[in-house]
Amino acid sequence: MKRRIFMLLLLVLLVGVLPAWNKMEKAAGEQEIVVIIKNNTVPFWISVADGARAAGEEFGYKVTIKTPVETAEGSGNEQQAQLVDEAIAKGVDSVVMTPVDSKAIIPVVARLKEANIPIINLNTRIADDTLYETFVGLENINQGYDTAKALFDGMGGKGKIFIIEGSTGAQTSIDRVKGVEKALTEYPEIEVIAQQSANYNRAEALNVVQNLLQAHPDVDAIFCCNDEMALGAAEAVDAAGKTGQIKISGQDANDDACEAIREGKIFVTSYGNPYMQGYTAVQAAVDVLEGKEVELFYEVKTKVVNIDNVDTFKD
Amino acid sequence: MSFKKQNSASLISHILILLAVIAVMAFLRPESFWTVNNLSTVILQQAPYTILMAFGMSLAILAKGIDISMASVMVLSCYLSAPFFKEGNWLLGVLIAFGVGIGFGICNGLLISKIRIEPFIATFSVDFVALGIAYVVCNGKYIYGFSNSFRWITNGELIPGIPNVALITIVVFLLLLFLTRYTIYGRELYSVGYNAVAAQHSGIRVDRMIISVYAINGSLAALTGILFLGRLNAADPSIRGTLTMDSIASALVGGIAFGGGKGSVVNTVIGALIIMFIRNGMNILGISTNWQQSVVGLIILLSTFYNLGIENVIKKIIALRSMDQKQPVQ
Repeated sequence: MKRRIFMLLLLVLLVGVLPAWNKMEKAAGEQEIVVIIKNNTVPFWISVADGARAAGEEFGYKVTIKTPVETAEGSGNEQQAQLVDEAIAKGVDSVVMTPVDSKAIIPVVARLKEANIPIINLNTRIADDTLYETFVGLENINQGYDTAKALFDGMGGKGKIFIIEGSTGAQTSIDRVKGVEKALTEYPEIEVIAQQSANYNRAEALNVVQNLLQAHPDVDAIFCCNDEMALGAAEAVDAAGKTGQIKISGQDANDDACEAIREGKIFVTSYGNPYMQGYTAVQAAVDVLEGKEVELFYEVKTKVVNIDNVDTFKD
Repeated sequence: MSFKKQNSASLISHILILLAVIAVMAFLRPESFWTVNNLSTVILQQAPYTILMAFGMSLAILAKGIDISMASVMVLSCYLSAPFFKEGNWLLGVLIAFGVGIGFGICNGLLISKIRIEPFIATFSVDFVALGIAYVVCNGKYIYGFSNSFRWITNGELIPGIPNVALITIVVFLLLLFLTRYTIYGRELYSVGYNAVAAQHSGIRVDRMIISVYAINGSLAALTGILFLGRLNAADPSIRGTLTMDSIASALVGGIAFGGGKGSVVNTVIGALIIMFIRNGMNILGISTNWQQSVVGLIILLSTFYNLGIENVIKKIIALRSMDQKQPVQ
């Protein structure tokens, strides 16, 4: 009996003290910005997180990175919803949000708005633009367009290409392909002879490209919607003994792809500056919290990377 | 005797499915599909990985279990051993890869046999654990670029015309075929899968058997991982891809019964080739990759019905025959 009363008292004490402690921590000076991104397993998102943390340190805000465990659209969205609800319950000051699913996230983000927590949309647009203060990201259409142009110029303005798409429904892939299509209108002698998805996955791209090469051995170039797939395509082309003859383009400029550019296996890729994306998003959140005016769109510029600037593009 | 006949009839019927798939494709696209180059690419370069993984899956299913964790264990063993292969410290790389693979395999086996967790649940959880550790170890950094001498293990040709990966797969196939068909171990494996209680009563050490099966799976996963490093020239968690599902599909489509104790590794090879040729064929036809998922699913369903149908037909034939044979005696 005594023990029970003791436990009860302890519980009451804890419940009483916790919120106060929480407030004390905040009073100690830091406002908190929660950054919810797509995952923390891919180099790109790890750089985004690094950039966000750096901005937090620079401006004196506490930055917490949250990611769903699952990256598939359904379960990923569900987990992002939980992360948002946690943020609301904790009473954070601002949320930077990169939705896994641009549409399904809308009711979740609406809850943030109801709770008067300002939202900064990062990298992938939320389908309802009344919900967020500003959008920070690159224009995937432009990125696809610039890369495609560099690839087409490398082909001498004519020839046959494959387009290897990312996961079906992924906005990044849709927009990058739109960019390629835009470039195609300027290069009438370039023909798309096959277009398939390899789910942003290196191993899948290797098999898909190997199979496509059977049907179209006369292809001149392969446009891939990310570097992972470009690296898979490069191995398929290598296995067919056509390295250098078939030009490959990727997107993101990750370390492996840069290495492959030096080896001559990949022709061109594009740097999305993930670090700058994370940094700018937190900076925008700080501006909103400090009552400064923000623009509707902060475009993080991309850079075409090829053999000429592969060692210097990050400077 | 009837059991054996039934098995060989089921095998022949699955070879027919494979031939039908190839025939349809060869008819639709003779110029791209029906070429030595394409067939050898699929059989000798693409299929071995699925076949090796499906061997493990089949052994687990034969022992009335399943191994969901194989692909993640493969990724983890790949990741932990890749730095050593890159440095050229092959012995250590091989030891680590197989250590991780067999370690996780024994762990699966213990969970299933000693703690008596359902195989699906046990291996499903281990799948998360292994992949999680792989992500932590990798921390978003892929290991890229291996020496040509390492990649020779996969892509070299010890026998001209046959890449080493295919040669290794053939050797593993023969070993497993021998193990399951002609050894006491193999007979015991089938009895455990067919009826574990009866096997226990007849003196088979069921627990040991199950642990050993999952340990073999782990080592197959490690082997596939090493070969995959050579093919992809990178360690990358996404190589897990659809391998788990493809290997379950191969076992099912090849005609290995989910109830345990029925089928052989020959079925697995046939099943894996059916899956790989469907994927290859649809790429060549220019059909969206997303349809492949649905088609593979449909093929699994159809082959399940097909298995049931074939089994019934065979049973009837056997029943009729034995009646014929009995009548004169009566």
